[in-house]
Amino acid sequence: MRWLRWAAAAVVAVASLCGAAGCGGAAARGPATPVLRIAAAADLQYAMGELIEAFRAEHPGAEVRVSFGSSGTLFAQLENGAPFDLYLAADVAYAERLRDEGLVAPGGVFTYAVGRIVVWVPDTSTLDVEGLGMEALIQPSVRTVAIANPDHAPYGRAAVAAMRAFGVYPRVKGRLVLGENIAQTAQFVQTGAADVGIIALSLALAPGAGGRWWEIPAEAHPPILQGGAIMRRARDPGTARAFVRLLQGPVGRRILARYGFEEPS
Amino acid sequence: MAGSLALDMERRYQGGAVVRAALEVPLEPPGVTVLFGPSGSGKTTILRCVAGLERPDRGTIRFGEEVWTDAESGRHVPPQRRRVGFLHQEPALFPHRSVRGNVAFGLRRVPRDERRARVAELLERFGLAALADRRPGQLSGGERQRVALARALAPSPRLLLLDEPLSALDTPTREELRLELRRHLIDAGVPSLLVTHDRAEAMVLGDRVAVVIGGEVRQVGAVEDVFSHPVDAEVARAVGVETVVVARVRERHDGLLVLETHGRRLVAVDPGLAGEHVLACIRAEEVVLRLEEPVAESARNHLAATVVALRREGPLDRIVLDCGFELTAVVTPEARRELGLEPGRRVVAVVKAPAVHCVPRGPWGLAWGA
Amino acid sequence: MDVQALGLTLRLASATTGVLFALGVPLAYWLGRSERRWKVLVEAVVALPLVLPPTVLGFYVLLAISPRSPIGRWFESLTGSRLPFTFRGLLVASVLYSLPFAVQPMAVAFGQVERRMLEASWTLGEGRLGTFLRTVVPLALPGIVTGAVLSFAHTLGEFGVVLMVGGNVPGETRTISISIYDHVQALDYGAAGETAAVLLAFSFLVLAVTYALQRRAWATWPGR
Repeated sequence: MRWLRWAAAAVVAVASLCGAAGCGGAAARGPATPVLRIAAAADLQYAMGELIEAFRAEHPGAEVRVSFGSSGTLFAQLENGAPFDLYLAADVAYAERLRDEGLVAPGGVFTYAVGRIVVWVPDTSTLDVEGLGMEALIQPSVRTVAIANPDHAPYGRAAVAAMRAFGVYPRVKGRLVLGENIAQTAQFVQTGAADVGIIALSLALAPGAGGRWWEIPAEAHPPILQGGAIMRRARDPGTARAFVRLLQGPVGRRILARYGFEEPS
Repeated sequence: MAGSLALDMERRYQGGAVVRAALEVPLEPPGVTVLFGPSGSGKTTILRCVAGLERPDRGTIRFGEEVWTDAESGRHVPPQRRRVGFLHQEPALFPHRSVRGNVAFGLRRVPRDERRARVAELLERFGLAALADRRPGQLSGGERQRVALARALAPSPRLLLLDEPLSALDTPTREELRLELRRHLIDAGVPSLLVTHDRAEAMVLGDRVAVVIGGEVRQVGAVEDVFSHPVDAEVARAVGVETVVVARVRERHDGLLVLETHGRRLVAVDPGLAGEHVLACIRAEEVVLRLEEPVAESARNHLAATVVALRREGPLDRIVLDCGFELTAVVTPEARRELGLEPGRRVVAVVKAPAVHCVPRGPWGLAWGA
Repeated sequence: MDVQALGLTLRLASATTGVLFALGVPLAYWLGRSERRWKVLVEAVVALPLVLPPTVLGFYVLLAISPRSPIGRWFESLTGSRLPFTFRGLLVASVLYSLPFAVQPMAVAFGQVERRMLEASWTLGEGRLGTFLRTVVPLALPGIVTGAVLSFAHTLGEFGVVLMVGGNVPGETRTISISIYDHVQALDYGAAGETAAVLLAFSFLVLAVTYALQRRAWATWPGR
């Protein structure tokens, strides 16, 4: 067993050396180029790459780092001092709450898109979701319907509101299974575990998602207003503002539209 | 019934070691057969094959009319259906059961009242009554081995197998327990097969001995025969060159014993513990030969003898004498020439009393007693 | 405080422990005593849930029990019901997830039972099953209890796997850890903290009582 102890010691030693070197490198690079650190909601996962590319084309030399998570988790982290300059939530309400806690730079709350939801089935499903629309949810062959958890996920709240608007909610209620976030909800349907789901249009349009869907009319639910905030402790508020301008400008709109996000009215 | 335990088996181990045993052990009258030999000679393997804990790769093991193992046909009666008792070198007592619980373990199918009576009787016989509620962890080494023996005897086994049962004990306890073990084995009336590498233990405990060397049974016979007449040099090395005779104690006084064997008297030092019978052992190196009876001498034993045979053994000559029993001496070739030692020559064999080593014995087995 | 979730979690933990006991004891006995070379492969498979992220494990379980998979189809044709998003599906996932926690301590305990104890039992006329029940199980008891308690405690706090295959159905698959997570996500930190405190206290109690009992069990066996 002695060799095992030695091996463990060696691994720890190497790891700490690498860690130290990594820190040194970061410290040396820090002051030279400003780094924009973004905390972004998971539904932006696919659009973000193109957005950053466009941003770097306008601001050569700028460096952007993104962490994805659920809006709620990121919120809790920001509340406790997570080192981000910009917060892009799936619901502007989170940003407003951060502002109320005094953590946002003056005038730092903004909206950047409106999310849309769709009734979605994978390619393998036999359900005629395009023809049936909301009725698809109450077909006898459908045993489980996946939505995001309406208690805390904006897309879940919208899904419930839409089902209510179409009068199917009482009949669907007993078949609901709840995803922790909208991405997991899509996963439930894609694996075949759930028969049909209500997910974000942005996920239905995601590369490789496949599947067929019916777009739920925007009037059927309160708008899913996606918003964000520039944090008070941002190291370089100027760069953060520049990124928000891009998001709200024509270039950003075009990219977001391609990924299923509409312009806020 | 004059059945026997008959082995003719071979067990091979990875790495090339092979243990072969051809051996027949009579079951009536029930005596103690010792498997004797140096460590690593294969004694324990033979014992474990008889118990069914290991399977021979070739050959058969029969017990009376029953075939316990037949490697050819794949027949193997599992240990739990052989009705044998087995004692490990380290007593394998169940630590989660009391002494009573251990002794009662093999009596599960016996009605409760009968079981209680049997356990009580065994605890009494083995002097364990006061310890009945103790756990094995609270017992001394000797007590543990007693519990193990009582437990093994409880279900009335047809054969008792003991693997170096005293070797885990310290020396004083071991010597004390030897005679006691002998008595218990004879009292139990169960034929026993006992493994040991200790000469004294073999002589104290055994009625018969089978010498196992290098994975083979080399000689089988009564204890005194095998120890007095090893069949070849290798067996002789294992048992030591010695004359061993069964003797009866005639007198004892002042720390001395006067023994009688084959009509001759022998004076020996009393080792204590001796009962009516002892094994008298005389090493060949300690026998002095002369041509006539001395007028006065310190040595106590003077035995008139006739030379029976001579054998060259290394630098010495080995002289086999008949003095009522067979006695062996070793002399230099020069001494042989001076004394004119040839078969038929009459001499006096002189042995000092302390050179007659007495091995005390408990009761004798019925078959091979003096 | 989500009482329904607490009750469900206790039910799930008990059922998981029960299944793991029935499944784990024979498996652990085999692992602890077998001398087959390919045993290491089985050992590695059993240990996999220790290193796989629970969400990854949960995802594969979800794929495996989905009505589109052969297992899922077979189960549906057999029982008429489906596994995903049901208590039974959760039970399957929990059993897999806690398997190493049950099996490893048990296998170690079985492996430590000395061979001569078994041999002594056999030569006293006891067959394999009797030897197992009367000798092996009592001697390995501390390890068996440890395995059972660890499965129970581990299931109590299980999150990632439940998240992946549960679907958060109240009374069916919404366990206490999911409930806590939901409270956190809904920014209701007060309720989350309250429930977490109950879970923590309960887990602590279960573990403390078990260790206390084990000490007593060991104390009565000074022979070991």
